[in-house]
Amino acid sequence: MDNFFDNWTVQVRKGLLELCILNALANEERYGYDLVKTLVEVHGLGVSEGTIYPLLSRLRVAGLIASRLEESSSGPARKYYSLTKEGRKTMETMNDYLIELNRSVTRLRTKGA
Amino acid sequence: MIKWTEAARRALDEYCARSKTVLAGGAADAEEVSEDLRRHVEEEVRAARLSVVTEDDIKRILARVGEPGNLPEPNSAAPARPKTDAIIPDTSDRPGFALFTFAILLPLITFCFELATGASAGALFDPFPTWLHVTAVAMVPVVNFCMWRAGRAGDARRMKWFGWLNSAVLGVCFYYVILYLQFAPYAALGILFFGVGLLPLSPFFALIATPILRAKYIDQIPVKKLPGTFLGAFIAIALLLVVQFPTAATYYGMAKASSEDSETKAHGVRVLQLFGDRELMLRACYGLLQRSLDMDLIRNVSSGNERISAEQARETYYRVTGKAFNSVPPPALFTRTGRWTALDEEFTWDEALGGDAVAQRIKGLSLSSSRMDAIAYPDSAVVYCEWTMEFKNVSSQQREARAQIGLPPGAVVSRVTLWINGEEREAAFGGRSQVKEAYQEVAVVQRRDPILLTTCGPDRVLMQCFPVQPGGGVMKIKVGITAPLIINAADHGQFVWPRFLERNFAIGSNLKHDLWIESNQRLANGKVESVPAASPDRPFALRDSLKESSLAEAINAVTVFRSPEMNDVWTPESGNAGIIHQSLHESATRPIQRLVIVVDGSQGMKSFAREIAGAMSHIPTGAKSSLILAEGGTDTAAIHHKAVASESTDEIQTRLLRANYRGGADNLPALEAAWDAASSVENGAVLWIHGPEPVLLSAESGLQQRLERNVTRTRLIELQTQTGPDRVLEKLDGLSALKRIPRLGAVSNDLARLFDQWSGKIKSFEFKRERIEAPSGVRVGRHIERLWARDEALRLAAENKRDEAVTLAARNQLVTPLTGAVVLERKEQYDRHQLNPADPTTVPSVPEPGILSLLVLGAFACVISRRKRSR
Repeated sequence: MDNFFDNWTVQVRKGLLELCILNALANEERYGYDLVKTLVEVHGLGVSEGTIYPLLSRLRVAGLIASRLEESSSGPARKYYSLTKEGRKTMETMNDYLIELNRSVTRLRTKGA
Repeated sequence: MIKWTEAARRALDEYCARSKTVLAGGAADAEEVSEDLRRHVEEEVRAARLSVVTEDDIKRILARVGEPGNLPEPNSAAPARPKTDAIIPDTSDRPGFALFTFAILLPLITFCFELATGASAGALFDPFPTWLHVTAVAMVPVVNFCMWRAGRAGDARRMKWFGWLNSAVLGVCFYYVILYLQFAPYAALGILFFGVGLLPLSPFFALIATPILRAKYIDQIPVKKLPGTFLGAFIAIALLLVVQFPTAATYYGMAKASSEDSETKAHGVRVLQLFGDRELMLRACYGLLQRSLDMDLIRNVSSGNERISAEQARETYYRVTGKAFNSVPPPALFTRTGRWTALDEEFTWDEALGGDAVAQRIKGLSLSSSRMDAIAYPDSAVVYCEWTMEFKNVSSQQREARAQIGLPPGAVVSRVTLWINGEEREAAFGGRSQVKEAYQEVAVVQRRDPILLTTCGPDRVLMQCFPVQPGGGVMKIKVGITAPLIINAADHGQFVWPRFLERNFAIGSNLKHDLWIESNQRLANGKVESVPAASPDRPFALRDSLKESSLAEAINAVTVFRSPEMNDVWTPESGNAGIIHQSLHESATRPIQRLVIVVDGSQGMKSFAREIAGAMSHIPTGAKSSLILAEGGTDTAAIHHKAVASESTDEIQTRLLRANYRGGADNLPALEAAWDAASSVENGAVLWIHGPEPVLLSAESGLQQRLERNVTRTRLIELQTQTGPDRVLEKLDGLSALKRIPRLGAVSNDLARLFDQWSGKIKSFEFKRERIEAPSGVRVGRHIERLWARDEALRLAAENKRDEAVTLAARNQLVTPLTGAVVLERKEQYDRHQLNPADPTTVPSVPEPGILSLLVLGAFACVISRRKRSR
């Protein structure tokens, strides 16, 4: 049972990680280090910093997010991420899809139909 | 500066190189990720505030960051966009257009319409008596719309909030359904037959639509039940009932306070004092609760279907607040939250037009300017004062300006002027009924330009001017007043300015009464210094500008200095060969055997309690005294008992300070009881200290009879603490037993002066005016004749020589209880009513400064010319 559940959650988490990144950028541009720390703190997501950077790179390459470097006086240059127009559209579609999916799943549980 | 050891740097380089290898060939940019990871580790180092970075530090950080993993690539067979059709539920259950119409649109339109027009408030009842009601009704379309939108989107966020709010909306709808229940059948018939009436049914539609919306919303979100199904509705209804309580209590209290039974009446007054809504009571005073359809459920239930007339409401308003209803600004027309503001004044019907009462404040009518010019004649101990007023009407209807004017003690109106087309027209003086009839016909029927002045009590006159034309029209009038000085010392007297006691027009907070008085001897008052006057005959003058609230203050009384020897003056009687003589002499002290003090127990007297109590220590020793507090006066036996009992000064003071002073009291029963006790011996006196009593709460005939059948020479001495109308006092006009104490300072000082005069500690003076054959003393102007004529007319009237009295007063152009003054527009109007306007050369006047200057210049020119000739 535990093994099955663990495998299942891994699948769910993998599926949700990109949406979490897009949602985290929904309202504002964010500094990479801060963004990664936020995502690591998300309860139940269970990701490490090292996992997130490749995903950020992949989303940037796919044109869903954009990044820019900004010099910092107190440390290394900071990298800021933001949603692109395409990324916002994709995020909304993914969210809609997830809400509907969740409702249908719950309906199966509560009403059996 | 952070120092990295070689080993630390090497460990990070190896990690980054390894990352590149792992990620190479994937969808991510390996170089970029490697740099990102390096930057991340450097940030970690900085956040940890390390000064030297060792290999161990880097290994610890990298252990937490973890190895960069390349996530599995998406299945190439999967679609680029998710295919949701298969799993999205059937959208036919979503909240639709019908729900939008009945749960949102119709309530919104109804809410806005009522708020803007006050239609229901005007025709049925006020649905928004408080701002909480407004908020509650606004909540219906707002909450329903948010829920409708979330339901359509299947958005489950804030579902708990929606659960409670929807339930509260249901409660609000239910509450209003009950309120509009009586009207619903009419509205339904209206829709059926005329196609109108949808708005009054809005709560009914919303009551049905709101639970349906709830069900639809639940269908669209993954829950079976929302919180607050009935509890929210119950809380909303309870809240509305709680805030509605003062309204219901007011209706209940007003119904009870209008009862014939004295105990029920007292109960109603107590309820209103505790819970009454003053604004609602004021609206009742203006008859604004009488609506075209009698369907106010709250009122009907709480008042037991009792209908309260405006007269009853005005009486109740005084009993509850101790104030006259027209002493405060008028209420909003229909409701305090929404009204036909543009049409406001159009619907204010002046029910008292042409009548004897000042009645309610009239919207749009105001006093736009006011000046008083006075001349003091120290030798005659007389002041002649002209009060010029302008009234402005910004409403769109003709208005009548009415006011009760308080005259200086012992004064008489001796001139009335109206400006018609820029010209001054003098009044005609005639019998009271004669001038009233003329005014009624010309003002009320023909709607032309008259002004009427009649007396309405001791030292008070009622002024009526009609019409003040609409759309900014102005009416200008002047009232001339001849007033004797109030003499309390041989070398000076005092003059108090006339003032409004009651009025039906507004006086703006910025308007000031401009005052000017000049004399040939020194003048002073409590705060203003003399200024040079234009006239060489009267080099002393005082100028002041007072707001309405300050005009009646005793500090503004003017002291007129005079020669103490100038006590015998005379003037030839106009139209007769006689001489009118005036003498001023010290009055003999009459010891008081029995003193009954009646103190008004109304709310407004509270602030004077300490002063009155303080003055009681001056009560003459030897006078048997007692106190009656007029506190409603229903238990007459108890009042009589109190009047008969004798009390020490300490006891009187203690009772005065401990009294409640609540609401508006009926002074008449207390005065009757006091009179009975005081008149049981010779030289008894009733001292009545009171505030305004704007409503006559019981019949005055008993007191009138007592004062007229005064065999023991008892006196009723009254002192009014505040400016305002007093219906009891009005009814005692012309009765010789009534004496008034002029207000010249603090209440305590005025009372102490009276007591000290009774005990002979200080002198008191009185005038004697009579017709004699040969002149004696110094000749003065005609004003003393006017004062004599007023007294003589009253004496003749008391001897039932009414015609003689009217002739004398009219010949001297005086407003007395028997005569009045009226200005009409045309000669034929005077002729029809057998009236003759005063000859402008015979009326008293205050010379204009311009004329004075011309006279001075003329005299100066004459002197120069004579000098030149003599050279």
